[in-house]
Amino acid sequence: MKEKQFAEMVFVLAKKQGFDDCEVLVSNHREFEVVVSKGKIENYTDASSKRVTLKAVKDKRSSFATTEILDETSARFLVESAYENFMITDTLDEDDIWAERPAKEPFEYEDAFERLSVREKIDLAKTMEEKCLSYDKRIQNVIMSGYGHQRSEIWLFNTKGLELSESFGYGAAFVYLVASDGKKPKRGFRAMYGSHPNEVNVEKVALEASSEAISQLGAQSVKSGKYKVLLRRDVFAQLFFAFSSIFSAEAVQKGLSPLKGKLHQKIAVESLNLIEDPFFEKLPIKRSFDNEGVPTVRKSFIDHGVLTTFFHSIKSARKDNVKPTGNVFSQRCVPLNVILPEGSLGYEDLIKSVGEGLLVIAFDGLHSGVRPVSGEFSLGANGYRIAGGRIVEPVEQFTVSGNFLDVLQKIELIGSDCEIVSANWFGPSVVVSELDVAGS
Amino acid sequence: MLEISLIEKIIDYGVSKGADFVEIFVEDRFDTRITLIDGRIDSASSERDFGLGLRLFKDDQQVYAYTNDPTEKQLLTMLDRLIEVLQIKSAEPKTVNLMNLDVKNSHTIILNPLEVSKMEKAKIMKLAYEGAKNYSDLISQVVVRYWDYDQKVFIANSEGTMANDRRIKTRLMVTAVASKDGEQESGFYGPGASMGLEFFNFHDPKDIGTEAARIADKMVKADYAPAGKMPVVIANEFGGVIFHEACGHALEATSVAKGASVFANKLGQKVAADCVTAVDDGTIPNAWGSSNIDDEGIPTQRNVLIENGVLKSYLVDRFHAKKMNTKPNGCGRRESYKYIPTSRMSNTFIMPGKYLPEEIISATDYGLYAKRMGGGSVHPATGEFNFAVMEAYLIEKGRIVKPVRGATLIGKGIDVINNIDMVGNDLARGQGMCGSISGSIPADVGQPTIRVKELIVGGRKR
Repeated sequence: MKEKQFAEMVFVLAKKQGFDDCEVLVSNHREFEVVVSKGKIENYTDASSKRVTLKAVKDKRSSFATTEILDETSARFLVESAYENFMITDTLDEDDIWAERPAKEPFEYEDAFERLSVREKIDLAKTMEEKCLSYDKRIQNVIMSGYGHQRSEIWLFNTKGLELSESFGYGAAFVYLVASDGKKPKRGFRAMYGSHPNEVNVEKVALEASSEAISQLGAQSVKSGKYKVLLRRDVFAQLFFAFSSIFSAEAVQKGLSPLKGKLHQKIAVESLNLIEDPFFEKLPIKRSFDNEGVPTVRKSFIDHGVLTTFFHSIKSARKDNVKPTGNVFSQRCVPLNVILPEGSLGYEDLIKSVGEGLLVIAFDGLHSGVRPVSGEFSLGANGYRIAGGRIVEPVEQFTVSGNFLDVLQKIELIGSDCEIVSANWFGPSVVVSELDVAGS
Repeated sequence: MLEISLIEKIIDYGVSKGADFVEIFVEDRFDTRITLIDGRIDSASSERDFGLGLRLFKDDQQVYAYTNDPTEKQLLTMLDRLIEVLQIKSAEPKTVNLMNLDVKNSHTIILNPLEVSKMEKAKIMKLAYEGAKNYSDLISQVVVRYWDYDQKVFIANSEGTMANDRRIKTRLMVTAVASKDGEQESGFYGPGASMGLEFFNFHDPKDIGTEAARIADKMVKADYAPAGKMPVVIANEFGGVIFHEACGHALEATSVAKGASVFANKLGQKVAADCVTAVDDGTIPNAWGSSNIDDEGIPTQRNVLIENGVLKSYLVDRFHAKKMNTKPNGCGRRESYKYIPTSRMSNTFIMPGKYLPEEIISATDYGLYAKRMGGGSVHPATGEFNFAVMEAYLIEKGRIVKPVRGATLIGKGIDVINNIDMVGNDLARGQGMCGSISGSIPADVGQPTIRVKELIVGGRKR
């Protein structure tokens, strides 16, 4: 059954059930991934799936239901479940269905990864593993050498006459390996993302993961204390995303974010700008509307240290009497693409500027060691000790603790070493003047 | 869920094309999720997932495809693509006789969540809210999440096995936020079981809310935890997450078969202190991590992993069993048809020892008492783990002296199980979601109160 036909069937049933308005979001997802180990296919996934979510509104209250089959039984399931969900929902927050078309044309993602043959993709993963193993004989085990891509196509139909569709996706190569000098094994990980195979350099991934693991051999713990810390670009991005929910207006309104009462206030150093840009050329995913049909928009949410906006859904925007910001993806209010504009110093100069301190290249426990409600974090880390303005030795088994909002205030320097470090972050490394470190 | 004749056709086609093993996994699942914030039901959603996965082995290679279009045409197209990837040169026509596996249900359900109105579920959530909100004046916000699901799975493979299982689970999760002097801290408690709504006859929803609020209230008044190496006493129940992360993941064949585990090639060797015996048991009636069969159609079982410090067994799935030349032991699990199954834990716990928990604390001169653990993670290849401690206290001269917050524990798995020097007699289990390459799955962790001689506590120097 075609998407539109299905949506129309749902609309009729929803009207009959007594809903005022409703919206159907259909997503077709295509996914490919191959992981090799010792030259053999360890995991290989080739898949496609469909998902339909109904958002139904009655008396300004919304309720939801989801299914993976497009038939009449599912249409009934969606409407009946949504109605039962509506009956128990008693929030005072009002929701709605969006009506305006976005001004920007929808994006069409041309999946160039799909044009590579399956064999070519398997060979890329194998090449990456070979490059790692030949980099140094201390590379003991390439645990995963993978190449994959995904593409989603979405259709949004609602009873206010909105009909939109868009496609988006990306490809990635990743390596996870272990180096050993016979004493302590050390790990290396690297991933690279892009919207075209030309942007995903498997040799570079192999080289960087391998050199990182080798350079960590012989790492020692560090003494507990306060340190100046250089957070490498990928590590700073990870820390931000662990706390990205604090920028959601719904979290703020419900007292679940430490940013409550801080709108239009200075929450970071003057030099810090953070931009949410759903159209950013260098990042692979681009969206002209969010999952509520609201147009996406480029915005500087931290502008010279000042918090200028939260991320709003239709529901949270109504409550604060502002416009929704086009940030609802997977029923959560999150930034799509985040850009930290470059500062003045290159990576090597950042290391020099630290003088005495630590360089962090990996955080562990980002899902558990952060408290979005308070901004507090305490995370396992690996990296290098910096002395006399240069890297002197690898260090391991230490924790870095602090408060995310303090970190934003303690950023001393922003580098110029911008890179795409995940599918949705482009930015450089930063120097933080002081963080608590626990070690031996 | 699918015609047997079609399943037979697909499996016969796969083996005739030269695959060593062909498996079909079909899933039909209903989820209900409801969120209550500030005393009101904020959102409710219902979900139905239906899909099918097709898995093939050839020599030591594994390939997988999934779809939610269960037609013959789609399945044969998927199969052809997988066969092509495996580059099989020649094969003979073969026929497989499928036999129904007699699966005994050990997890009786009394009140099927699908047959209970959502209004009843909302009432339960409001009780939990009251329990939390009324705990103290410091509680500024309460979020209650209710979740149940009914997952039916069907598995058939070229070894001739056909099996069905139905997993019904219910869970209530409460997050309470306490505010004091402009600072906020949260507490979480979220028990669950392979049960229907009768779960709440065993767990008073009000008590679940109270427990979350108690933690938040205690922690917002606490100083920061000290930093550095020290003895750590870890309380029972969810404290078992330390064994789950620090050692359990490294005992999964996924890591062991590749030699990417600190426990590889150590069967029969002493890997832990004598007082450590650890078990993974997927058969415990109605436990959160239990099922009758695993997601590869093998009956779940009790696997003794470590006995008195000696490594007895790994957790082995079908694919890695082939690689390791051993037998799978009922631990092949996956979140859904969208994942390839692999070796995973179910209900994993350290067996009880001889000490009273109070004896363990009074025998500790200085250290940290980790009463409630948060989540954690590990790199099995290096053994490096980390955990967040949700509720902690400082121990001085054998007594708990004050609450401390923001602690993280880090270390290496093999060091921890060698450094356990006291094991209590108060075994209990807690519930969580375990994330790994085959997705996020329900798992119980458990232990009695234990003491680890030395761990790095990530706190703050003040």
